[in-house]
Amino acid sequence: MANTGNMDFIVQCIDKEIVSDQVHELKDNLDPDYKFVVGIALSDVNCSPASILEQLKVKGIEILPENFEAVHIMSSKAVQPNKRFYAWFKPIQVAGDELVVKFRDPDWSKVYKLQFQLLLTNNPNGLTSALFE
Amino acid sequence: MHCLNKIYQGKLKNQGSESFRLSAKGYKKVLGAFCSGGAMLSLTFDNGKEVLLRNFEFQAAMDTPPNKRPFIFEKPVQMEIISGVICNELRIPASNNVSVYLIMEEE
Repeated sequence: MANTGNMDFIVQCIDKEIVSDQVHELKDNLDPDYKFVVGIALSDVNCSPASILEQLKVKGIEILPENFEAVHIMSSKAVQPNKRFYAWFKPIQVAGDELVVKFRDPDWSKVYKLQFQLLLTNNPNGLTSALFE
Repeated sequence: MHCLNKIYQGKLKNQGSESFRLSAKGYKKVLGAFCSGGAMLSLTFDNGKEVLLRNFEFQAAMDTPPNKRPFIFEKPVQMEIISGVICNELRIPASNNVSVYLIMEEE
């Protein structure tokens, strides 16, 4: 069982309706009460496996390489909700900064709502160890 | 702290393969590797002398937590060349991009 002691986190969600196979931009300011981004996830399994995160930036810093395949941060419903976050990147220190995601689904065929989820915390070491258990 | 590096991206024809190489300068460890689902990856260290993976097939395993999908290991590196080959065994459409990623620890 994960050690949940000394955890201080929030899941911030950003929704976007995907209406075509063109690039969609998701933009939001991060919760200023939290200092680190430690995990990311895409909730919607309606998007095709060919979907691409063309860009994922916080305060102008790229968290993931350009044109990162979205499938790497998507999970089926069989995965426990607290295990759906991808965390193989350096925690990014933030202070209410802007997040920009450029998403494209080249095999898009119908309108769906995409939800991008960020795991924010003030205690990256404690939470990161729980994410990898 | 670790970081994620894309070391190859391109289109592979059916049964096609591409090689890649990079310098480990600036990094002290490689902690894991993964690539596009359906592709097969070979990975060598120490300027080609040490083979870690040979035609290892990666699956797009959506039922596995994202943090558990990479092939995880701990390989100290110095001033050396990391190289490998990615191969498409008919599972990936030739129009799709295929990528290889290494999880690395900086000096």
